Amino acid sequence: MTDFFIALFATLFVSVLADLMISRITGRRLRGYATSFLLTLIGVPLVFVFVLKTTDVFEVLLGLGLGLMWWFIYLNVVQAVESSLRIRMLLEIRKNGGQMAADELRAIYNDETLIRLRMQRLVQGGAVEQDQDHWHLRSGKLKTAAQFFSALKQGLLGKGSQFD
Amino acid sequence: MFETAFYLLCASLASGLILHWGAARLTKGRRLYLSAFICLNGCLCLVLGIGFLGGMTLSAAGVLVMALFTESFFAVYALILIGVVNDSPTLAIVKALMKAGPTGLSKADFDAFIVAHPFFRSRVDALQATGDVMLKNEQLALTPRSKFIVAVISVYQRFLKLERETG
Repeated sequence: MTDFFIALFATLFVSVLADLMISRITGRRLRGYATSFLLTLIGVPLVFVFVLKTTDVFEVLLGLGLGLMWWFIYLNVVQAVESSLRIRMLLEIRKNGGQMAADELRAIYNDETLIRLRMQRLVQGGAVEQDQDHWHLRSGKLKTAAQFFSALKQGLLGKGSQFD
Repeated sequence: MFETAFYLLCASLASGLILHWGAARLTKGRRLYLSAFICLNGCLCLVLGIGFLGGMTLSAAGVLVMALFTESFFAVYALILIGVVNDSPTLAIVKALMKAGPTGLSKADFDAFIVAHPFFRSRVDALQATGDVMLKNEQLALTPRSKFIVAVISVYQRFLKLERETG
């Protein structure tokens, strides 16, 4: 059983290390995420089969399930650290010596600036197309993600938006 | 051992999710994370109890794997729930664009959307609710916990040479 966990931790450690090194060297976060995901997805079964010499398919399945869940937790933590609005607000307060007026913070992270910047990024990324006076959604992936979270929100909370 | 653990996990996680779904609808999302933890772990205990009473044999190591798997699943589920409870600005824009349909989102509709989505206020409220920010002399101040968190994050960002953005 100890081998089971050592194999998992070792594979995850290599995946995380690869993500951090690729990001630091190339400056491309997505490349780091994709590499670490593939290393976990392929690495866990390979380590179980060729290092632990397991022949139990259920052991591999449970190991892979745990490995992918831990990778997902890691991904969410680093993404929150890198792009969460709340984290950036905390960092801004720290930059100001640990406290600042809400209006000063609002001047930096006000809703209009935030939303217009997000829309601008969507247009630059090709997910949204802008003609003269209108914006049009062009990304199927974003549409699927929005539908998924809307369905979950409606199903769990019975409303479509936190601002409803 | 792993085969038994696998099938028991499938049963306990599926029943835990269904139970949580019902509980969340009944309570209108109050104590969402706590109820998820209770439902998933409660179903794990129930499935194990029924199994052992029915004469199933599973080693302590098997139970440990099942417990760890359930807690990891709870963490993943809780992370997804954060995205469900709190609207992401990007996904909110996407939903507005979808609602606008083939004609597209007009400038007037977009202005109305901005007014209807006070993200700043909701995030400050969330930071205060979690105890990461407190009001001190009418200013937003970091708490000892959030000071520690941002110190760790700063080290991480310096290592990756990440630039801070404001939106």
